[in-house]
Amino acid sequence: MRAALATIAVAAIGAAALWWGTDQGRALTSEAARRNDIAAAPRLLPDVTFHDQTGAAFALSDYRGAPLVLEFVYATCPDICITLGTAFERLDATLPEDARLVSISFDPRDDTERLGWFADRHGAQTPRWRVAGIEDDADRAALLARADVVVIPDAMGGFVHNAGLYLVDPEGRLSAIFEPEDTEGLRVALAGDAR
Amino acid sequence: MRADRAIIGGAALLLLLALSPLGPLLESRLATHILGYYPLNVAGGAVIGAGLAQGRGVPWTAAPALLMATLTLAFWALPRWIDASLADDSVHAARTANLALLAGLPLGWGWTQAGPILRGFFIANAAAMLAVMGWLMLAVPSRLCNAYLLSDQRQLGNGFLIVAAGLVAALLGQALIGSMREPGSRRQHACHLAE
Repeated sequence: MRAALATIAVAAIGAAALWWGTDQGRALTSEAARRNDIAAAPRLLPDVTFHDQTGAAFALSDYRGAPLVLEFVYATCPDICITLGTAFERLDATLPEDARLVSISFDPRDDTERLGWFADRHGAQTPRWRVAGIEDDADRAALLARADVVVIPDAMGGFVHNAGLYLVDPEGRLSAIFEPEDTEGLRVALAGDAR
Repeated sequence: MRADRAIIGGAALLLLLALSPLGPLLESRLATHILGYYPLNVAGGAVIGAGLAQGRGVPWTAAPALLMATLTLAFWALPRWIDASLADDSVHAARTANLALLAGLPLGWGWTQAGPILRGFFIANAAAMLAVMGWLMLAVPSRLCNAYLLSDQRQLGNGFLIVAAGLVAALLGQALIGSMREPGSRRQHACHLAE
């Protein structure tokens, strides 16, 4: 009897801990957790300074007042960034005129020339679509940390990173993350926000 | 005397893991993290738990203790919390304490108190869970942990399957060869105490 009661008590506490630890069963991975978290409480991104594929400098705050979509890439990325670039090509073709796109490189080696490679490959044209690098290491780290972008080196001199399409609202807050393939979901969410 | 030595040994193992470069080294790869760091951390607590249980026959505590160890391990096996423990020092510290005190300690205590049927059930259950997790790690096409590569995940999947097979083999060996002496000797010990 004691054994049964104690076992049930432990099971109940354990189930409660697992319920809490998975956001009520909705987040087994940190990727799901960060998406839930950002959707529930949009995050103001640090106002870092970028340089784009033409060499021009700009800041995130320049985009206040209009919808902005970000993605994190690096110029020599062989796989997921191609998917991301293609997703941005679709968004470029379908989003309203005032919407802006920025592909942000997290690779410190990506100078203006290398950012240009990525821009040329996907037909990115300023000011609609900037491909941007961040000069300052601390700024780069702060932006990645705020968006919970985790970049780890792969075994071949490149990087592996959690990928997504990042919707930033007109107040400069990161408000939703979509799968790289889910351009339609992002477009619909953006249309909903504008209404 | 033996109990004292077990407690000191367990504490020494936990200290070694917490303070030496061994911990970060094991954590650098997913497979050694889960199949090296976790078991060592749990073992430190388990040795202490088994030491504390020596000479104390409280059989009704066996099932809740083993369940507590299982649920604690289940929580910290969630990809979300593996990532979080690497990204956040306070989560890491909480996990270290949890694995030692809420998984290891009750495991050592509960295992010592448990009879052969409960022990067999525990091992069979652990083998089944490890096999499912191993299959999951091999079948899921995307990365579950942001901090590790997909190849790490595959490696862990294979590791889980090997450990599961090992547990099944050990259980079969026990069942077929029939060496269940240990629980019997504990019973005798408990009887002596009762007298």
